[in-house]
Amino acid sequence: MAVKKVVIGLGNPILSDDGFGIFAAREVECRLPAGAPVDVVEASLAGLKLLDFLLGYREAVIIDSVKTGSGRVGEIYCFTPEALRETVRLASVHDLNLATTLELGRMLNLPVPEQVTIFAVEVADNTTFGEGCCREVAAAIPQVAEQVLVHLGIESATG
Amino acid sequence: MKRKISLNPVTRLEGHGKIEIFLDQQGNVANAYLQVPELRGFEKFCEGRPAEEMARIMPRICGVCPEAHHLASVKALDALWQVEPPRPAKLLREIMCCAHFIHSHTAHFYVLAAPDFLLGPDADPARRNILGVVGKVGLETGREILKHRRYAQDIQAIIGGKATHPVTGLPGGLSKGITPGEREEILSKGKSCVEFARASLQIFEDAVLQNKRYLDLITGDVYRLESYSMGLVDDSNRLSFYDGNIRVVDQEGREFAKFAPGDYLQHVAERVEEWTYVKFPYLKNVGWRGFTDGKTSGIYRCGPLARINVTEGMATPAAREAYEKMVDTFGGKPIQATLAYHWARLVELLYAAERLVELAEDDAVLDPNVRALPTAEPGEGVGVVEAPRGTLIHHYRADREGMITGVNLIVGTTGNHAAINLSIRRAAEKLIRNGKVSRELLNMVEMVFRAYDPCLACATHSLPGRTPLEIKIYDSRGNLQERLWQ
Repeated sequence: MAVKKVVIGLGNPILSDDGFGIFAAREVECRLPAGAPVDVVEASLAGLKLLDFLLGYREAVIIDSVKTGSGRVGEIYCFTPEALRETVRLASVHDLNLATTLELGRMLNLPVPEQVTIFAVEVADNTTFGEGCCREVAAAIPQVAEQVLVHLGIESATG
Repeated sequence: MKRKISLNPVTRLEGHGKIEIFLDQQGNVANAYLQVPELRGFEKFCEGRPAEEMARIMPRICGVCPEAHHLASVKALDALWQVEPPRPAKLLREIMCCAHFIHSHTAHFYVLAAPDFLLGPDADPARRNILGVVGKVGLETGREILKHRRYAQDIQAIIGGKATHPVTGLPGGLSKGITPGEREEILSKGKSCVEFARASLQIFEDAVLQNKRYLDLITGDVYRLESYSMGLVDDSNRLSFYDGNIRVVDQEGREFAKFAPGDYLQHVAERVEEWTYVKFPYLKNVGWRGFTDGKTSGIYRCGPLARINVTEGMATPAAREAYEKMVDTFGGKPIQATLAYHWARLVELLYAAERLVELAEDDAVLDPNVRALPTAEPGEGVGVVEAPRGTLIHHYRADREGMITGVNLIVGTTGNHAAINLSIRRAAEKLIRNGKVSRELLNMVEMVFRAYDPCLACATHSLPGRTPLEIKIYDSRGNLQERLWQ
C-alpha cells in the first residue's frame, strides 16, 4: 500500500484572498485521480492545532497565502518550513509557527512528516470579509493545484 | 524632540500587533498605543443572510476561539427566537464551553506564557519558546501538554460535530445529542484533564511562586492597574462560563453592577479613537476619562483575572482551593496585578476540567431531547458567554423573515483593549527611562501584553514576509531617525 500523503489548505474562506489555501486545496481534490494515496484537508488554523492534521503522514504539502508586500499579487512561492524559520524567528502570528511545531513534534517523538513543502501565493486583501479572491489570486488557484500534483508525482485526473 | 518607538509585531501573539511608544524630549514615555489591524466588512457580510447561519459564520471570524463564537451565537439565536433550549442541550453546550477553556488555557500557558517564567524574561529569544519549555519540564510533561490539549479538542468535536468549527448549535438547542460511548470518552478524558490541571498548577507553584523574583514580578506594582472587573456569574455569584448575569466589581471589590446579558447596552458603551478602528468598550455609567484607571474611569477588564475578581467563589472543590490560595497570596481581592492573569488562567483550567466532569456525570446528558423548536417570530437577541479571553457578546437583529439586519459583537480582547493600552503605557513608563531602550525592557512591555492573551488572529493568519520584530524611532516631525530589528 502506498504511503499516505496529506495536502492541507490553510485560510479563512470568508476573508477575501485569505481563502486562497482552502480554494486551492479544493482544486487539488477535484484533480486527484481515484484511489490516489493523498488526503486533502481544509483548515482555518495554525500552530498546535495544525500538528493534529500532520501527524501520521510521511509527506505533507501546505497551501497558504503570504503577504510579503514586495511581491507581485498572484506570485507563487514554494519553500520549506526551515526557510520560513529564517524569516519569522520563533514568533508567530498564531501560537506557534510551523517550523517550531514540527520541531516540537520531533522532540516528543511524534510521527511528524519527513517532508513538508509550502506553496503560498502573494495576496492583496486579507482583511475584508467577503467570498472569493481577487482576479490575480484566483488565477493562481489552478496553477498551484497543478504544481502540488506535480510535486507529489501524481498525474492530474482532469489533465 | 519626540521619538517614536515601534515594536512590530509583538512576538508570540495570536495575530499581528504593533506597539508604538512615543517618547518626550527627555526620552521618557509620553504615550503608547497598540495598533491592531482592522477587519473590514463583517457586519455587512452578515446582513441579509438568514439568522440561523450566524452560528456557522461567526466561528469563521478566526481559528483561535471558534467554539466560543459558536456558543455566544447560538445563545443570541435562542434569544432572537425566544426559545429556551432543553436542559440536556444546555449541559452539552456547557461541556463544550469547558473543553474550549481547557484547550485554550493549556495552549496559552505552555506556549505563550511559560517561556517567560520557566526560562526567564531575559533568556535568549532563540530558547524562549515552547521547545525551551519542554526542555525544562521534560519530554514526558511535553507529551502530556499535547495529549490533554488534544483531549479537549476531541471533546469539543464530539459535541460540536467537527474538530475546529462546530456546526451542531441551533436556535433552541443542538442538532444531535451524544451516545453512551461518547459520554464515557468525555468522562475519561475530562478526568485526565483534572489531573493535568493540578499538575500545571504545581509547575506554576514550583517554577514561579517559589521563585522570589517571579513572585515579585507578578505581585509587584509594575504591572498594576486599578480597573473595574467584568465577568459572568451564576445565581450565587460563583464563576460561570456558559450562562448567568454579567457582574461588575469596582476597585474595592464591591459590586458596581449586575445585569442580564440582554441589558448590556445600558451598561457598556464603545469609544472610538481616531488612531485605530478598534473600539474601546467602557462602563457607560462611569464614563470615558481617557486612558486612565481608578474609580472615575470607566475602563474595565475581563478575562481570567477579572473573573476571579467578580466571583465570590468557585463551584468545584479543587478549583476552590486553588482560588483561595491565590486570593490569600494577594491578601484579598480585587487582584489588580496584571501578570496574575497567568495564575488565574490555571485556576480556571482546573475549574473547567472539574466542571466538565461534573456536567458529564449528569445522566441528563444522554437524553436525546436536545432541541426545542422555535415558533416565535424572530426579532432581536443577545447572547453572552465567557470566552477564554473575556466576556463575549453577540447581538443580532433580524427582520420578520429571519434575515439579519444588524450585528454587534464585543469580543474579549476588545473588552480589554483600553486596559491593554493603559497597561502597555504603564509598563513602558516604568521600564523605559531617559531614552534608554534595551531589548529586555521591550520584552517586559510585551510580557504585560501577553498576560491578557490578546487574540488578534481574527485579522489574518497569512505568513509574515518580513522580520517580525522591528523598532522604529522617529523624530517629532515623523522622520525615521533609527531602525532596529532582530
